[in-house]
Amino acid sequence: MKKKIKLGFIVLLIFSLFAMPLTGCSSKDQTKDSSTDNNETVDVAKGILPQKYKGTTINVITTPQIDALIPEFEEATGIKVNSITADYSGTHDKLALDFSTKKGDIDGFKYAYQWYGELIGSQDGVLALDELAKKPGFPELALDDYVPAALDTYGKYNGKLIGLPIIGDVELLVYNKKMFAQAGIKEPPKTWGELVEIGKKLTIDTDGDGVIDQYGFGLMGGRGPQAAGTFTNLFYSHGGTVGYFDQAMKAQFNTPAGTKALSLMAKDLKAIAPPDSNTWDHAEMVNAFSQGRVAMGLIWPGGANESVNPSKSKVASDVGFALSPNNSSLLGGWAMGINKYSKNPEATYLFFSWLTHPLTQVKYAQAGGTPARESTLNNEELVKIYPWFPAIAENLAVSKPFSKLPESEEIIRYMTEAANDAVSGQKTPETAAQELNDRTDKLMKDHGYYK
Amino acid sequence: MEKGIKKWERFIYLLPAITIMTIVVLYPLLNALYVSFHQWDLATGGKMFFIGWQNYRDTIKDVYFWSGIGRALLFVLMVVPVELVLGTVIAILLNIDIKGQRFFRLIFIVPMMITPIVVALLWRIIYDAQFGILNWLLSLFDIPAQVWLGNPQLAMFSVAMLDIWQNTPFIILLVLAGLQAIPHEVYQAAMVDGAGRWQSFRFITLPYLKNTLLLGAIFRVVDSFRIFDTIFGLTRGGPGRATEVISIYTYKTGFSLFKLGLSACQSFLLLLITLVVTIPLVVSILRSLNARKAVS
Repeated sequence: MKKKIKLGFIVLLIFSLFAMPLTGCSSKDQTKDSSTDNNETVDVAKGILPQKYKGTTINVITTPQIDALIPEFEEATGIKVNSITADYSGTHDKLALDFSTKKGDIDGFKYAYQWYGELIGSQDGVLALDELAKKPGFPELALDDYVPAALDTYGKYNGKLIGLPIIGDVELLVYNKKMFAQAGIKEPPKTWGELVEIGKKLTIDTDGDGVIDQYGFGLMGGRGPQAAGTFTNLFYSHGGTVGYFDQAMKAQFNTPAGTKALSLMAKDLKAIAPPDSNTWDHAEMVNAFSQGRVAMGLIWPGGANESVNPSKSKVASDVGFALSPNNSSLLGGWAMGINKYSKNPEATYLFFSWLTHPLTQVKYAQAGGTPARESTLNNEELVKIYPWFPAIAENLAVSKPFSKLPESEEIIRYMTEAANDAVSGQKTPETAAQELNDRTDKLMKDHGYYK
Repeated sequence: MEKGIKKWERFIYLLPAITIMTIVVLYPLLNALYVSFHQWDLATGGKMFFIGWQNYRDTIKDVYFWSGIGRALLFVLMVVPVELVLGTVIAILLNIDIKGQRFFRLIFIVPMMITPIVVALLWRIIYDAQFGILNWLLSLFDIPAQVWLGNPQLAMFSVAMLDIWQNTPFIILLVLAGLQAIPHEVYQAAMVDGAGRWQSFRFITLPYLKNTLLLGAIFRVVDSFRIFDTIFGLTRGGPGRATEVISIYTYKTGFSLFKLGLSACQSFLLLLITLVVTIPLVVSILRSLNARKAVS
């Protein structure tokens, strides 16, 4: 009996010894599967994203179009996205201050490429994404799908991937087709000279009360960044050096191109623009165009949406988009970057890789965003809704960028002041151009580019 | 009772206030002074270098700094006298015992309670050259539309109108409080002596209100000399530099160009100039109080 019990015990022990690793393996495998199912699986089409960052909170500087997509991401991942709203200058200032503290309070942000030299070069605050891009468990970046100019200019710096393009931004010429037809003008202007002539014909008193109530051009001549944008577009389109400097890093604003650009703004364009346009930034221009107050203007794609929206625009059905005059346009553009000091870089990267995924970009475009992906810009369904998408591609092809030097933003602010001074009649175009040149040269000298 | 409080006890009672003031006033002030002797440029790396008096030398030679000071002084002269006179007149009217007195008092106080940046955005709409209500009102009298914010000759006047609208209620409040403190017996005695309304106002109300008005003037001079948010919301200092008062210029130096050392230096000089402007008013109040003490 004792022998039987002993044998039974030995059999049970041997069975246990075999069984235990098996059950252990089985249990371990089950955990791994569940981890794969719940924490690692990525299927953007089905809305499945990793859950392993659940409970994390990230602070991100966004746009309203990005904000529209946040609930979907939060539901899929359990990550809480705190959206911070800021305009162009506000975003720059928040980032510069945040980087200086090196605390990473802002995890991720939209940023303009002209801040590269400053935010990456000098402040060293933007995380390179090359390593994160190799990791599994994130949506594919599909970098080949970006408009090359957008990926190269917004996304890369010194060969490293430092941002994911989010706004394919370029200045477009917007015009009112009905006003053109009424004045017998058949097509949008191809040069700035033509634009001024057409603008004169369209600057009229429509109701006969002796007061001009329709203007030819919506000039963004206020003390905001768009005055610098308009100036830069005009400067480049009249042969100004791209990036503003010669090889010795001497500013080129006091050249004929610089003076011509300021002179056009202060005289020719001002003459066909509403008298208060020296207080205008982009919002005011879009509003005036949408209310039928101006017949033409330079517009960023972000404003195009409003101009064709019947609930916001009186001219929604009459809007045409064309190539910026002189076959030259200004490249804008925003990308999403991650703070080098962020405590949640992976959760932020998950958000951005999902947000910029080709499938999410369709939803982003439907929410009113301007994509930088070719597949989205050429999406036939989207082009029906957003007729300016082909114009974006056309303008991108001939666009020229702002400088990427660390001093770029400071020079943009100098340009804003010079343009606004000239448009307001405070200085002659020649004086404003010379002062702009002198200030820029002094800045470069102070920063050690030359003695 | 007071004699029973020893000096060290007084110090202990004051300690919480001294501690808070040290944290929120003295430390930032001394830190700003320290920064003002450094080159600290966030846009190009953010490292701090001691440069001695260089920022002060640059600022004193900077024409934009002085034109900003000039515009701020002009602004003070444009708004403070109007606010003092208008505030006093309205307060005296609101002090008359009529039906709905409380309602009118409330209505007049409302502008003061709105955040300045919100006021600026509201007035941007009011001033809009085509759709603004102000130009519509002018059109009723066949007066041509004005470009309130885009015309360099009008822009500062437009900002001043907003400031008067928003800050006159502060003077109204002060003067109303001052009027409550004037004993009725004094007026009655004056009436018995045959004084008319104007004489009562000239020889009773105004002397009693002198310190109140001086206090109001100090607050308004300091506040309007440093005006920032309404101008930032309304014109950002434009058109050209027409409304670029010193605080806007200092802000741009510090938080647009990120030259923090230079900006700290400009702020310090601004503080000194503000003190120079306001000290005569403070001295005047102190003299008046001492004179009253001597009489009583």
